[in-house]
Amino acid sequence: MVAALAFALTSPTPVQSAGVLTPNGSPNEPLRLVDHHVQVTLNNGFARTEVTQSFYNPNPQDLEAVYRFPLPKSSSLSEVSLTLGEREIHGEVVEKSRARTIYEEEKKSGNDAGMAKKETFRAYEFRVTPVRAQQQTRLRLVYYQPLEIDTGVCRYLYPLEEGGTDDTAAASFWGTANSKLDGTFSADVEVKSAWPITSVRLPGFDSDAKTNKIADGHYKVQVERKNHPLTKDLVVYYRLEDNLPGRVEVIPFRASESGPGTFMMVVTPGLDLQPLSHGADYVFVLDTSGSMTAKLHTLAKGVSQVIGKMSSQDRFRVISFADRATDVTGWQEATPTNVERALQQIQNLRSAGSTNLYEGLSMAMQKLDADRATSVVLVTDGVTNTGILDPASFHQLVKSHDIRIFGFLMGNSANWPLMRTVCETSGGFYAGVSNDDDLLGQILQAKGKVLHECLHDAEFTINGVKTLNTTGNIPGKIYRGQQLVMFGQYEKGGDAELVLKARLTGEDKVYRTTFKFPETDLDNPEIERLWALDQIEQYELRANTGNLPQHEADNAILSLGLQYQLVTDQTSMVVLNDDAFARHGIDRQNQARTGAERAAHNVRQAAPAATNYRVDAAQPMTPHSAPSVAPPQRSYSDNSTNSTNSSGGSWFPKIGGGGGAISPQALLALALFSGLALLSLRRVSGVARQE
Amino acid sequence: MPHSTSEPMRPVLTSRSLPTIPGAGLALLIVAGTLALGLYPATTEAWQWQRGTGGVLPQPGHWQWLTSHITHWSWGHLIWDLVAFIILSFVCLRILPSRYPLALALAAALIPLEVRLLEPQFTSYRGLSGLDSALFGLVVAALWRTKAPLPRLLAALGTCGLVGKTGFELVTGTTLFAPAEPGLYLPVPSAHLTGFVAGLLAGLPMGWALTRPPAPCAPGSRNRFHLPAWPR
Repeated sequence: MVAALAFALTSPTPVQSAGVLTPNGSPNEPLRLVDHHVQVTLNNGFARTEVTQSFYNPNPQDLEAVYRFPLPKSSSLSEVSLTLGEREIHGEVVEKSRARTIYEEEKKSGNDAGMAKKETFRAYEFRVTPVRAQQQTRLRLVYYQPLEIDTGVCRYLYPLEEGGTDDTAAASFWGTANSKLDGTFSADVEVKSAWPITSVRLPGFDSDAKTNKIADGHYKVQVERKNHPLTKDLVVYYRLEDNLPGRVEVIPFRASESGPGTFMMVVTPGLDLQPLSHGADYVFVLDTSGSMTAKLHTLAKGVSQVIGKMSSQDRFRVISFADRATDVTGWQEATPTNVERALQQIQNLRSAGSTNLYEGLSMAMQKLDADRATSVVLVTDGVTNTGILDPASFHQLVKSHDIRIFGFLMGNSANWPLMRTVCETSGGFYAGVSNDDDLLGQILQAKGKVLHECLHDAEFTINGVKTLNTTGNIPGKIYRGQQLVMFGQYEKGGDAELVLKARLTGEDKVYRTTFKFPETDLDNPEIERLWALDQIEQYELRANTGNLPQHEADNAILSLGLQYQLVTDQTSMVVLNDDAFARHGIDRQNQARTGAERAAHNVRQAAPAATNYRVDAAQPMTPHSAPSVAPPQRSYSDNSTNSTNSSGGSWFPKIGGGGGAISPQALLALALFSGLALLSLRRVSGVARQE
Repeated sequence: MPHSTSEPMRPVLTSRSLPTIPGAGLALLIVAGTLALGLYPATTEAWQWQRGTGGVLPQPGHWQWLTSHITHWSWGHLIWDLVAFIILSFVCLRILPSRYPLALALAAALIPLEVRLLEPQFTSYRGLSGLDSALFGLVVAALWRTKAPLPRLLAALGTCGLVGKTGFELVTGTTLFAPAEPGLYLPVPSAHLTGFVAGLLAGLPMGWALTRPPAPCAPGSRNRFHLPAWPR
């Protein structure tokens, strides 16, 4: 995680830099980042991340610390505590401006206090006052995220790296970031899955990671680095076994029969989606703004790979954008000559300027052939900051064209709410790509989806039990390998029927299964916060697309944030001692909630295996196995004979070439041929000798 | 030593014959190198051929055009390639050992060149199977050179088999008899074809040998050999 620490002397300015920040001109020595520990638990479809960060104040006077890190995607910050000396104080969520007032009051009074707030899609910011002179203060925080598995591979990202966007305005206040860590960076990652895992991988941490396989679905990975700057994202991949069934998993939570229950439904379709044989058009819209300098080579390689894999029936076009958009290649048929020329042109791209995404996308919408399916592959790292910026305009632009947009966001500071608006409006999808990820693998995996049939007009309904506030990724299209995570509330327990209606190659399809919502289930209280966060994201999406007035969305988000104790754009968390909470009249809602969550977490940790929440085992909803990616157990990067090897390298195989491969059948034929060759030559030799 | 032609009789080869020794040494080196890189995958990427790391022609200092053949994408890729290499090396070293290094060198140089020029979509290359194809081509050449009907029939069948397989793969874009490792790497059928041609070229009679008929063993010779007696 990118840690940014500063002496906050004035009101904060949005900062995208990473590491220890010191205001320009500050006479004080920067606070030091000491140990940084992260504990990650991937279990039951969601991730729990607990971060402990210690600061040391080397100065002779007390100071305030500001600690920032990029916002992990779809994360619900639920718990913040501070350890000052021997005392630990905890946080409660209140309305944002009220939190600020309370914090300032406590700071002025010289009391111990902390505050956590969210800055749109960019970052969480933590303030701690005071960090005593020549003493350490420890900040602990916990957040939850839903896990998504794509084509059998789960990816978890703990952002440590600088976002690297073009937004340099903030640099005028903050000095150069220092990500140096004086002590140890350590991470304990525990993966528990109800389904067998073939391997766990942490690209880039291969030499520092120790992996232990506890059971088929249970791994523990330990990473430790000393005196190492916090400059690399921690990306964890785990891969499920091949040929697992298509399945529906429902994780419920209902505290009592008096109120509604909450559920997270994970649908992993097992559908026989066939490869498409007809040609298609692809537009590659590539960000070449200044911040892409370090990433352009990777980007060029990734796109080259995809273009190189096209069939001669396909057409492609490459557009680059920075301040202005440029049509790099025009429409080209994917012949070897055109491909070679395009690769040269891509490799010659240079980065400079700001990010005018709207113009890039607008150009991509031009010169489309109505008779051919067109997909747009959009790769960017940043925040659009030139030209049209309004998400609703993007929504209108995309909605007016029959195209699918697949977005890839490089780095940790990219505007993923905007990308979500753009991609979901078009029926495509978006994916975050860490700089330590494999862009090639990600794009090729996406292309694999595009090159297969997909379900259109997909719609889920639940009958038998009244459900409400159902949210989540319910797309119009379901692509091969895509896992769908949905949240909702249910009125009471009982038998329910889940129905998926969709169209496949013009034919109506109906998939259904039955399951039971429990009257009560206390095992996963975190589901409530995840549901609330999903609701919040839905409100943001609707506001972004102009379907909901902004003030209504803000009110709804405020209400959800307070009720479910989430740090949002409308709410912040204040960390005070018990007396101060009583003095300010703040109920300890979060204390009760975190207590229940911690207890449930401990129970799950103690259990030998993850609970299997599959509900359609008796009546599978979809008839086939869930698709999976290339078997990594055959890959060097996964030493299948030694399960303790976490290994490095990308999860996704580097698809670059190979000499073709020789199968056992081909080898048998070869051996037969060789034997016959030797025998025939021996016979000739014998004849020759006789002669 | 009596001989039916005016040319001096070449010594009959035995298992200790000179060309076999460097050939076998080379084969062992390749096998050892392949296994070593298999066991230390972290170094593999540095040894693979990478587009843009050198010019069109193989250059000293950019040895990846040579070393890429002993790098692989997976154990599945490596094992079968290696077993095929061992079998074909055994056959080649029995029948045409003097051309064995030539076939390997020619294929090692031509395959990355071909990938670079004709397969622009590939940014990297790994695998022994191109060299396997070269050895296969060498066997086919050796069979053809006997001028005997059965070996020539085998040579023709082998050629049809390989050309048919790679041709099918090139035309359809799918793989035939290839292990199921979708997404792990992309097959390069043209590399097989290039390797095969390189092996054929290496196995062709050269210069003096073009006009030279097969050299049967001298009547009454006490030399023991189990293989046809033609120039090796």
